[in-house]
Amino acid sequence: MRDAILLEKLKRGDPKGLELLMHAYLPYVSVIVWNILRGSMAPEDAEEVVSDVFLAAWNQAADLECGHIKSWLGAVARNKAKNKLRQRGRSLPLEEDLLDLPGLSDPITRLEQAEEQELVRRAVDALPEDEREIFLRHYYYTQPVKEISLTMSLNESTVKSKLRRGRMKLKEALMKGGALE
Amino acid sequence: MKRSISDLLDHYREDRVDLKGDTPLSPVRIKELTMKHICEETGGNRPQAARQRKRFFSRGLLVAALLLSLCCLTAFAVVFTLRDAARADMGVSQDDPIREWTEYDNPLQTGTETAPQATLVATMCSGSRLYAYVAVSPVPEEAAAGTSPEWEWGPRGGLDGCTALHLEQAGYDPDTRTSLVKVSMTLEDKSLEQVEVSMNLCHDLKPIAAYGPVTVPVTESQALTCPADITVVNTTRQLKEAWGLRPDMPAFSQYTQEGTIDQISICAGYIELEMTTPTLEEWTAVSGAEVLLELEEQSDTPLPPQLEGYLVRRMFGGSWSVSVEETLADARLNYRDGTSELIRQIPSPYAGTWLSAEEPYPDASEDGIRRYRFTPLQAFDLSQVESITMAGKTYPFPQPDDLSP
Repeated sequence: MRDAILLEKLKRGDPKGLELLMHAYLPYVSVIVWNILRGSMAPEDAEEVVSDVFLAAWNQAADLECGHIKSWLGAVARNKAKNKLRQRGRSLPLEEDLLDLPGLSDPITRLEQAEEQELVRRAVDALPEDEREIFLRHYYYTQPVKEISLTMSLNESTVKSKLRRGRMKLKEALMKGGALE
Repeated sequence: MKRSISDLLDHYREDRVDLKGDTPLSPVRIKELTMKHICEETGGNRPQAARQRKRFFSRGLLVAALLLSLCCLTAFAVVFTLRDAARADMGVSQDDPIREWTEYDNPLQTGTETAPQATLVATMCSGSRLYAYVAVSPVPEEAAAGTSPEWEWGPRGGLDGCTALHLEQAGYDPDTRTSLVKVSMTLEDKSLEQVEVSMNLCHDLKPIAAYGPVTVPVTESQALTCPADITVVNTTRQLKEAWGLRPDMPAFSQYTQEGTIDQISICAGYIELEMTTPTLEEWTAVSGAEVLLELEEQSDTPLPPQLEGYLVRRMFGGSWSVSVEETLADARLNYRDGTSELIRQIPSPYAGTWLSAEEPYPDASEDGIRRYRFTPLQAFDLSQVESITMAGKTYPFPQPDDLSP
């Protein structure tokens, strides 16, 4: 109900809609951006990026759909923060971020990219709930292993082990999907 | 080939993880930055219908002026920028403010923890609605950030002749820790010349700071009125819709009744309709709603005498409200510049468009006399309003100049 109200105001160009959007999602967006930029940039830089996310929501209100606002904001926040990091020549603070996919090539055409995105989506959605959450907290939200272990009341070795399983399943899905081409 | 897992997830959409955490980022600065960028990029709004463009353009520019001028601070400068924020909130033009808007040149005293201060900045008085913008300090930044529902403003003490409907923050100056609080009131005693307002800042429902009292003058206002003849139909369908999702809806009778909207008024603060309907007794007789009295008797909780029949009265009022909303779904306000607005699309602080307004006397609705009101978020400029279109017919308003005393 809250999202429906703020979306209606946002789409009408009512600044109150943006106020409501920020009230509801500013903490969420701030955590995503800070997880990516901390250790590489000052808080003021991160604040600019968070502001850019809500500016994007204001300018692209027509693209927002009820029930998908949070996921839209999350995706935009990640992308803007990662772009900012790349501009400064820094890399993400992630463990074992690289997947080795021998025999596969980078998807070039839009169709290949769409197919790869679908494979990734299915592989992640197929993970057991706790593994998926750990996988997304680390690789999607860039949350450090230590923080994940504290948040989910698990020890770090368990978190690392589940991350490893998630990586293996994602690799398997991509290799299998690539082999069918 | 090596691929980054993080990059592979760039097109993944997720919203299930309950992501929380502390950051050193300032919500207040982020909001200021965002509003500043919006004003710089678009002048305060995206392309809209002409009237809405005018309404939000003013607000955007004034917000930008507020943000940019927050860099230089004197007591008067702070009041001036808060005055800009008040104008922006009410949609009042800086160059040509509406007659119902009054600004006060009171010097701002910066408060301390032991001597908090409250200063009247501006008021908008229209009919029975009175809005007061009050600068209060000191207010902690975390309370002013607006990111936590734990902080809220509330009235302190009663208001003689007046109801404090709502208090909310309309602006904040972090350097002097001064909040602009908007107090929205309904005047029950129309002969009042002023109101004393005091307020609390509450955290987790507990008052932690008190401000005021501030004397708020009640100033002159005007309304434009025209007769109307709009038929409103009320049937079993509207009654069932008013019943809503309550369980065990009784079997009402099939009926049709008609009411008439006789008069339309507009002032800066709202549009008001006067309507006549069949009486409660007449409506109950045809709708079969007396069955609701049996439901009340079956309730486990005994009702005090003054509440007996409340469900019948509630359904009576609710069904006519549904009828009015349906009849006026396409109602438009027409302006002298040739533009018009759908009234249901004008921003309002309330859910729903036409809400029941104060009765001319107690229980007037039972006698078939009803009032409905639409309240906009920002003031109407009566000099720009030409007519109103309802149920396919246009009713011109008299010119404001015709009503000079």
